[in-house]
Amino acid sequence: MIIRAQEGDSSAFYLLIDQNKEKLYRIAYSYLKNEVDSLEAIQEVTYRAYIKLKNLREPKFFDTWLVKILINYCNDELKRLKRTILKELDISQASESTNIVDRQIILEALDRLDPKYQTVIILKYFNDLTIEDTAKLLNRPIGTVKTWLNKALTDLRKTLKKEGEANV
Amino acid sequence: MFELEEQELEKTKKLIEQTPIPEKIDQYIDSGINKGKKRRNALRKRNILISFAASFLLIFLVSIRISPVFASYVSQIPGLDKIVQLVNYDKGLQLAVENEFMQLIGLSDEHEDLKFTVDGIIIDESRMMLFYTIENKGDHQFINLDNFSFYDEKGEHLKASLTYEHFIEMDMRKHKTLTGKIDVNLPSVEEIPETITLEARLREELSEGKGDNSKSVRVGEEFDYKREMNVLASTWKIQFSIDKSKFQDLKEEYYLNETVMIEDQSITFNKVTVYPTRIAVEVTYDNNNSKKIFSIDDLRIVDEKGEEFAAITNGISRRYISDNTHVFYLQSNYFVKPKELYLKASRFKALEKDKLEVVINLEEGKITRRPDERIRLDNVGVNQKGDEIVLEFLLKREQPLDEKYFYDIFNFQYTDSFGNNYDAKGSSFGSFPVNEDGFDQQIFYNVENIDYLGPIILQIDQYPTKITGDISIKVK
Repeated sequence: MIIRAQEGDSSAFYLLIDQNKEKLYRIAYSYLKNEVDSLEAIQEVTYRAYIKLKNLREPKFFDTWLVKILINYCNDELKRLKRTILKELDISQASESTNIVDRQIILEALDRLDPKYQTVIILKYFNDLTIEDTAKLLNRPIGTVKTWLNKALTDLRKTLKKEGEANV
Repeated sequence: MFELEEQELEKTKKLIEQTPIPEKIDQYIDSGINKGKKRRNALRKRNILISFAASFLLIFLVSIRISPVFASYVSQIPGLDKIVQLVNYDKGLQLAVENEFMQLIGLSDEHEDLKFTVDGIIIDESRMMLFYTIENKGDHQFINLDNFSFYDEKGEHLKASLTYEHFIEMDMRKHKTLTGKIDVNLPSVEEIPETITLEARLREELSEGKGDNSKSVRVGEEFDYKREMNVLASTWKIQFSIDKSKFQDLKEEYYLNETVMIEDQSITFNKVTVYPTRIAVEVTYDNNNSKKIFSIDDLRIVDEKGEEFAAITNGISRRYISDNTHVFYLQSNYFVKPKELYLKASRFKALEKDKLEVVINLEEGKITRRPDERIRLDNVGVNQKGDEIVLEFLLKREQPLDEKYFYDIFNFQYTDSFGNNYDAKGSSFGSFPVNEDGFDQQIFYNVENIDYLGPIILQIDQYPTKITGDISIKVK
């Protein structure tokens, strides 16, 4: 299928994206936190993947490759958004059983992390990627990813503490 | 260690998982693909342009060997420095200018704020190179030669094959003048008139500031220049005379009739003709060869000092006398006055005669027969007007030998399954960096958009497969 898409079959390409769309949307959402931006992210990733598809050497890495494109896009997008305004969390469709305010605090805390720390958290905790897979995806040694994850959680703790104190 | 944080993250994950996927997502995927398609088409067009532009640049990058004597000669004659630049890709033509073989003309005609000047010609019995300048005296921007013809003193149209370059992105608001050359393959020497009239039509191309201003789209649009240009109303007419005494009887002919065997293929070198502007080598391939030989990659002429003069890469490089007899043109060492001459070659492009067809099933968009995996059908599309089917091929190229050369591989005629002949609506080629190696070539072949009965068949005229073997033949 991937090879067919690489040979220029756009319906094959569509199916490939379709298979991945839920995962991609959720990752986009965990970065961007609202529907409009996440949909835009999907469009942009589809576009980037389409024109770059021929550069993909190993078809078996297609799914990871898509995620990588998405993460790069989201990181750039966040940088851009931070420069403008901090977006409000789109909470209208969230379930009532979750404590939305807490969740918003977590997501905002994630936003304040270094992008690479944010990425390892999103991949590991929101998308259930193993450390090995994350390392492969980010093209870094496993040790580095472990260090990042540790640093990410430490930073997250600090941020949440501060938030907690401020909220008191 | 981080239980609390992990718990929080776990809860957050649940929230994210509960986020519904909007149904609109499919529209966004669609529009992403469409955007990608547009961009890819624009990129391809741009790549074609780049490869053309690169061949232009090449002309200017080759360093000029200038002797002090020659330098002073150049500086004495206004405009000659521009001509020197136009020929510096060809050692033979450079020598021709250095040896004052050029006939200076300097006549012009002016209409619609454009002055067209014939600066000079380099002419011998086989060929005429005409150098011209177009000067912008008004507010023209993208000017190109649209059409031109040559007439003799009786007003009769001279039949000759012509090559000339298309100016790309030469903004005449920035560069007041354009200089170019027209390479004319002449008929026999007897038919060269004493006086020639050049009639040229010019056109204004409208490529700037249209629609989307992003670079790629704009360049892509420019590629479709046929739809975006105005042919100017005037005809620029310049009459000039030719000094035939300057080149008559200068050619030297050597009959060789030497047959060589390269990987069981028989090739006969018939004769070599040395003209001041080029060397013609006539070659015949044996009809009984199992392979069809398309071209000789590294045919060159070498003198007693080992100095090599290679093929003409910019301009007319060969001529077909018949299917089996070709004439190759090399840069000329006429002005070097060599004592000995050797013809050398080692690589020939060739392909088995039973593999010369590429068969395409248009309905399924598939190649059903091809010589080997080097050629691949990438896409079958339709042009904007809908009257042509555009076949996009990808050709794996040999490196580094073919690195610099791009070529069309198909004959302009194709057939349907019933043997009906059709002419291609167009074909073009360019480089397309598919991977880091980046040497592959893309080929477009446009056929009429009609219902063909069965598959169509394209004939291969050029292909990267090779036969090799060293040849050295003494010419004199």
